[in-house]
Amino acid sequence: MSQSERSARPSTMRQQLTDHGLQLAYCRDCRRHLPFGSARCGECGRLTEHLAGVSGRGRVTSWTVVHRVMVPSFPLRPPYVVALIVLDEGPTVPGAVPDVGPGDLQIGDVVQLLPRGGDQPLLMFERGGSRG
Amino acid sequence: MPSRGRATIVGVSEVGLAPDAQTTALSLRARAVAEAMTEAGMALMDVDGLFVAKGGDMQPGERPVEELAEFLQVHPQATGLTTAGGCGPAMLIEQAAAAIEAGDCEVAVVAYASTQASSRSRKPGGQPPDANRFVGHLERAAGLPVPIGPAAFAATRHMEEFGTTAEQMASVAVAARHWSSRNPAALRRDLITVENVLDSPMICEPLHRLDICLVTDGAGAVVLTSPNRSHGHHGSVEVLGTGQAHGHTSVHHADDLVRSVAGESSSRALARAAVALDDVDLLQVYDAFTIMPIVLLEDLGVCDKGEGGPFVASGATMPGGRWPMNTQGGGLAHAHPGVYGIFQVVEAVRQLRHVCGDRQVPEVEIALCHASGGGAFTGSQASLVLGRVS
Repeated sequence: MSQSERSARPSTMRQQLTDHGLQLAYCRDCRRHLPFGSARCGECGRLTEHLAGVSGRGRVTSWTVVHRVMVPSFPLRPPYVVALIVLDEGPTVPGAVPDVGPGDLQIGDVVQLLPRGGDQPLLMFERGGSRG
Repeated sequence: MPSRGRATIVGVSEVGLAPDAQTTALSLRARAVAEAMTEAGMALMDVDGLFVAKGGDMQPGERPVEELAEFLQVHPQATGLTTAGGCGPAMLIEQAAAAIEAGDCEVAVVAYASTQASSRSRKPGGQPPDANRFVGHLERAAGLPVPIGPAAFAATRHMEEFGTTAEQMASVAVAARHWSSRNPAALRRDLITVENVLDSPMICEPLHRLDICLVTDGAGAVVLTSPNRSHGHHGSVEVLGTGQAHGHTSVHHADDLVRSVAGESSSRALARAAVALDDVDLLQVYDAFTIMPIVLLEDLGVCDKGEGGPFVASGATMPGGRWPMNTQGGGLAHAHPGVYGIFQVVEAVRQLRHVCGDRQVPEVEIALCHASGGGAFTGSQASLVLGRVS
């Protein structure tokens, strides 16, 4: 088992978002990452108990600007941009994109997961990043 | 004429839409059941099936079915509880009809209540991501409010893929007020314009305050019984067909943000009813956000994929249009205590009874109620085809 691959049971957001980046459930037989909150491989149908790291690179499939809704303990104050991002590995995750202003992000933009820092699980991305 | 339906609706109620800090969801739910049973001409002791839809403001540990049974001193022999949100009541009507058909119960009540406005447990656009839900942690980590965030993602994507405009989305809210202005029970009855919607505060781009359903208290109940027992009952409505389909509950599991499984659900309901979509006279289509009926109308086949924006802007769902929709004002203008599905059925039953006064759609014989739920609106779907007993 590599450093970025480990047992997924029990699994919490805090465990899946580590200093090494985001870890998602992983089917070792099909070499596939699974969406957060899923443990069954869509290819072979087997349940998996393993997590594996992802590159953190992805592409924006949609976005919104949060203006007036508060998410408790989230450090950004409205307005801030949240995108839905298809990771290079396949699964989709939501993530805030704090470095872009309202209206600046486009569907199709490439984004990269930012290092976490601190104890609070935060999914924040920056625009750009090289495609692997 | 022998009944075509699997079960018959003989009583409906809606109560407690105005905020009342002195009440509780349990007492509102009980009031709704009592009023619906009175309307059905039955006694509470007749209830032998009890089905409750769970709302977002229920507490962990709450036992909504058992506590309601105890409160009313009834002893059901068939029960059900849904956690699917908006489409829960339609799913429960399917369960109740099946229980009646199987002989498990004879008089079933489906109920929902919430005091989310009085208790200030919900704000426009929804609640904070729920840490009790596994995926709530992911949404919190991303700063994504739910369910408005996923709805905004769908709206942005629909605009990108199909050229849908903010004005077209706003026209859904405008049409809702044209209907609600004719409904004395609706909580927002003033007519509004597209400009009013676009000038209202932006909540979660591209959704404005007036693109979002109301946050209200309220309770509703529907009484079902067997076609035999309802024979000769004045104002009964047949449950002709039911269907459900489930996509996903989290937006990051969606294969497609602008295509739901609503068509699978409604096709099943229409096929069971042996009714064609063109035979439908009245639509009830869930409208927690203005983008929602646009996507759902496409997926139900009422208009082509991508044409939902121009379709609603054409006035087709307004009074006098071919597809009268949400004739009580819907969740955008009538009420929205968190789970609106029960009120869709209440209104459809009243329309099918031809008792809706100024907002009555002429000669309604068949109604299609369609609700979505479960967090991301392209997720869980449930449909009911209801028919007037001639």
